[in-house]
Amino acid sequence: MAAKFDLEKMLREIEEDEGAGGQGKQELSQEEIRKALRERRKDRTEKGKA
Amino acid sequence: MTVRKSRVMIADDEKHIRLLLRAMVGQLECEVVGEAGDGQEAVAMYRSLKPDLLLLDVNMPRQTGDEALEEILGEFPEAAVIMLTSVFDRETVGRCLSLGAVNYIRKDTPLPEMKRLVRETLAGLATREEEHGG
Repeated sequence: MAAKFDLEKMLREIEEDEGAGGQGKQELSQEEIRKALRERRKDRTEKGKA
Repeated sequence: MTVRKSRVMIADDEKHIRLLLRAMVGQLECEVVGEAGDGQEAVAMYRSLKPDLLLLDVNMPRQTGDEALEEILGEFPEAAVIMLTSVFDRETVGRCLSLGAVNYIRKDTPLPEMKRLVRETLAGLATREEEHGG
């Protein structure tokens, strides 16, 4: 099973960076998805090193 | 030297989307080894074909793509699955990425960009295989 990380928190941070707010069923742009993937990769690399 | 083509499976309930994806995968010089029309069929077909990459829709009958993703990754933790879908709300994207989808592509992405994302993912998988001595 893949390691869990706080994706919800990270996505909220991305939305705040983009100034998108965070209410309702928020749709993500491809760029936001890309950022989420990058963060996940970073998170897993760091966990792998630890 | 013969380069092995990547074996790709497509799961989407819409036939015209499967046709489009088949054409796109062909342009990437990969081989489409199977097409599934719903989530249950996708899981069963994945088990028998074990493709290098699965392009998986979310909104499908019988079993949704995210449920199928969970089942496939539960059984095959190294499975490479790209979600390719019109569903891109935060909750679904978050769930699929947390489960371990290797990429998540919006269906409204222009074809050249979609191809680039799939190619990029395949390159990442090749690196992963090398790192694991595959």
